[in-house]
Amino acid sequence: MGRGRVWLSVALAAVLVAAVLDVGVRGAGPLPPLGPAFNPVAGVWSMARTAAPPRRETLRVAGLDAPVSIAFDARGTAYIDARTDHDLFEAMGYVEARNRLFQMDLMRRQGEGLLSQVVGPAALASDEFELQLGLVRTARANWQALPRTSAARAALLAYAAGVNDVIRADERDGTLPAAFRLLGYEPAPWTPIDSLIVQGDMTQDLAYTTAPIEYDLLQRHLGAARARAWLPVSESGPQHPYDTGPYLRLPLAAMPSQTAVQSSYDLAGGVPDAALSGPASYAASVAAAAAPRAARAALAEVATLAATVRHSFADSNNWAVSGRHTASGQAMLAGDPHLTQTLPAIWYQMAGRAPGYDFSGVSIPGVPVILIGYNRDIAWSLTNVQNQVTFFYRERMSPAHPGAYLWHGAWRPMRHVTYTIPVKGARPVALTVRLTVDGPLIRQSGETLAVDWAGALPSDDTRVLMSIMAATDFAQFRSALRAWHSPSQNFVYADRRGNVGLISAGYYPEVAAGRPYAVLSGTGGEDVAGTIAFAAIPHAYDPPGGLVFSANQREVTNAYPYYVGTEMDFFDPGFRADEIYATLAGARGLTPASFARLQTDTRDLLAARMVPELLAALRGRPLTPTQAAARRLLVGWNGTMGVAAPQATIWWYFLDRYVVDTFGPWWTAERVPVGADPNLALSWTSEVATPLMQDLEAWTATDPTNPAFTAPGGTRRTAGGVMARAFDQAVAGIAARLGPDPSTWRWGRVHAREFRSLLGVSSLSYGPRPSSGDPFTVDAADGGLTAGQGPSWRMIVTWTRTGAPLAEGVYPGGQSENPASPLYADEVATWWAGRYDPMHLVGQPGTRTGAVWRLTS
Amino acid sequence: MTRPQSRGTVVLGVLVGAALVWLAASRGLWAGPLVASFLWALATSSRRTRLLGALALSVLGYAAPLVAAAIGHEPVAATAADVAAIMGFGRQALVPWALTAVLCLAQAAAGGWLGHAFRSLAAAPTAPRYVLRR
Repeated sequence: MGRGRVWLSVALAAVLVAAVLDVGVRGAGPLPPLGPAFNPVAGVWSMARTAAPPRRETLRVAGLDAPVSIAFDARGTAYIDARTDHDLFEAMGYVEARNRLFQMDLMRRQGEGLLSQVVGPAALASDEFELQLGLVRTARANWQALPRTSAARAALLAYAAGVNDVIRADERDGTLPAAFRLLGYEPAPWTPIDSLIVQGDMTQDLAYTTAPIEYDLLQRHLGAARARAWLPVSESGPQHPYDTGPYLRLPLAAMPSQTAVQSSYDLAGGVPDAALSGPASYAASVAAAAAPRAARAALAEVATLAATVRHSFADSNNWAVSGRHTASGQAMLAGDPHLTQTLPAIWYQMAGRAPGYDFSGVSIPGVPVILIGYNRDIAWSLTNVQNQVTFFYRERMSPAHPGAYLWHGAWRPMRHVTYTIPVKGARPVALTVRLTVDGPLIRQSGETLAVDWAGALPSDDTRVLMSIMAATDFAQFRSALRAWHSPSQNFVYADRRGNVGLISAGYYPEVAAGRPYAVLSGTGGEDVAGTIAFAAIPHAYDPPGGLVFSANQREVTNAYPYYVGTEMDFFDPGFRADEIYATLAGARGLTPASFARLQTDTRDLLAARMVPELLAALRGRPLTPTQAAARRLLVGWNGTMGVAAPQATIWWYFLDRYVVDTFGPWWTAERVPVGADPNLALSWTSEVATPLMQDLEAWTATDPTNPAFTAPGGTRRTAGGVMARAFDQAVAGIAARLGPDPSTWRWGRVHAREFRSLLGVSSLSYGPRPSSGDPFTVDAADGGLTAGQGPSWRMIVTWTRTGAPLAEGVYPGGQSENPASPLYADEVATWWAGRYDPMHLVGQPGTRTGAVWRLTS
Repeated sequence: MTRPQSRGTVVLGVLVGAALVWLAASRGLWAGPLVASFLWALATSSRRTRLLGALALSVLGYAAPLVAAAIGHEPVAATAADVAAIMGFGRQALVPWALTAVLCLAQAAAGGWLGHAFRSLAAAPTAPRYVLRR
């Protein structure tokens, strides 16, 4: 071979080597970096190694005070036995990271506005929104507010140390979850602020709403009078509040202002805003016509958020009864928070024992506390209070005062904080967030809306939950909840002495003036003036009936002397609460099995109330054979939305048409901007639909000639006429889809549940599987005909006659986030069948059916 | 310049090379096949053994940990399907297998070729051929 040809060969070989290395390091097209990803030991294949259920191991974990034992049962539930409180929290971090590290990283990135960094421009809108709303600023303020000696601070630090032990070990052993390899990054060390951001994600999911913007839009299009009548402050249907009074009327208590909190922000060079940009940036028009544009833009931003951090549906239950209702004579408590159901699930189940603690329950991965659970003395569970904690302000701006807004008669400069958002595969994006006394501006498009959201205010939730985990009686429980601010939650309580209680803890902001359920004026007169004092918030302790319950219904009667929210998006229509009340109020001899039946109850109370009205409306009307067959099916039906029930299908299609036939002509005539905001659509998954259904329930029964039934400019109609028309359309619609025989119109043919993979991968999801239930059933199925929200955890706790806790629980998912693991979705079948697994405290029989890890430093 | 290598030496060399590839992979160094193939080709006299040996040690070094995992009852096949799903290929388990194989074989080919070329360079005439012959 000539020397020239040899050199050519060397050159070509070198080019090939370079190409291979390039694809290995940087990837190609849609492919990840092939080298680290498909390394047969340390790449994605390590998923196989980490898929096995926990094995007996001795593990080195830095920083422990003493050896820690973590036993596992067959389902992977962790039972942590530690000799110090510090070790307990470090072990919690360790065990959660071993099972959910990628989920935890995703959740902190969501709140930090750092999703684009790993998934690219598709997540940019979400990141911009989060940075505007400011979960990361709040988390930092929360962290700064923690005293150096506080137990919560120590727990957060210990937890972070446990997580970081896992990150270091995974990087060393090549066992990082496969998703990291495929996305081409490694997790940054975990910090206490990350835990507080995950807590913020949850707060946002439960408590951030755009309902006031939507009300504002509806009011502009429908007119103030109709908006008031159709979307009233108080529910038009019957409700069962748990706190029936008498109520205290106390002066408002102080709460931190957004300004006070902003002063603790690290503004990264934050200065008054006058020097920023030019007047054109803020040349805000105060013309009314511009408002909807701004609102629509804000709503479009929220629509880009991941489903897990948007407040969209309000469906959780909890209740407790005293011993006189139960067969055992002991108090009994149940809780089933309804959240977005994903794989892996939002929950991780564990028990822990240390000198200061002895608990069992579920935690959110990333947070060093049990949110729902029990100890030897008390049990607790949560539902969302649903009171209004999000207020929008229209700021007054002027080209003559660039970078300023009018507040209490003076032009006040905005402060600003700047961010650079790293975007995978694209240039970094600069973002400037402007801050007013009312909170951050979420958009400036023609006009500016500031959002005063109580979730942005510090709330020492970690400390509160740690106190509850260690509480032994109601006094301690109640005392702990004084410091709970966001998200406002209904904490149901029961104890081994037979007491039951419920406290709706959290901020209840009250504005000085104006209509808080619409967009408020930012000029100062309608600012938040304070919060309802703790002594006056809804609560009950050992009420005469021996029953406390919450299902997101309004907690108080109309006699309550404070504004707490309207029926649009805030409070649930109350059908679940009514069903719970009807089942439990007069019951005797209740057992855990009775509670389980109620948690899986699929009777739709609205259907039970309205179907007789429908049948009455159809009486004497000529019906086709198919219509007649459908009507016959409804006779005697009790409203149970069973998977095999054709009546459920008929009812649901009818209800949908009843809403559309009644309100659709108004929506069309008044040009309600449903295209800009799906929550304004007359669809049963929209925020506006539920209050309209409540209107129909009330009008059908008591006001069948309400003017709303008559279309604008049309001939006069009544409830009966509209119902008959809706029935005709529903039957025709179902027949076109499912065939002419109504007896085959099983609910499961059109209705399903799906537990979607957190990665959005359908083949790693569960379902869709035909399912019973609907948004109004105690066993709720929400989010569309393929429901994605529902009971994310079910728990029942009582005590034996000797005072030992007796508990069971289940969530639809599994302890591992690794899809190749047998513990990825192993509990779905148990959940689906309405069964439960026994829960234990550390050391009880049944806690060592799997392996044991021994952690030593 | 070189001595013919015995079959035993070749087999031993392949096994040692594969072991080094495995060891490197377990330390997170995925480019083991590239380096090992380069060195192998540089040190091997037979052209045929040069290519086949590079391929053999690379494939063996990448496949052995996966075979060992499967023998140890780790869900390797299920993992392949899940990885494909996460990558957006449905549950086409062939995809991660194919990508792993491509990564391995491309390294073997590139490293082997580069080693072969360097070896040729060392052996190439630096003066007129007749001078060498003398």
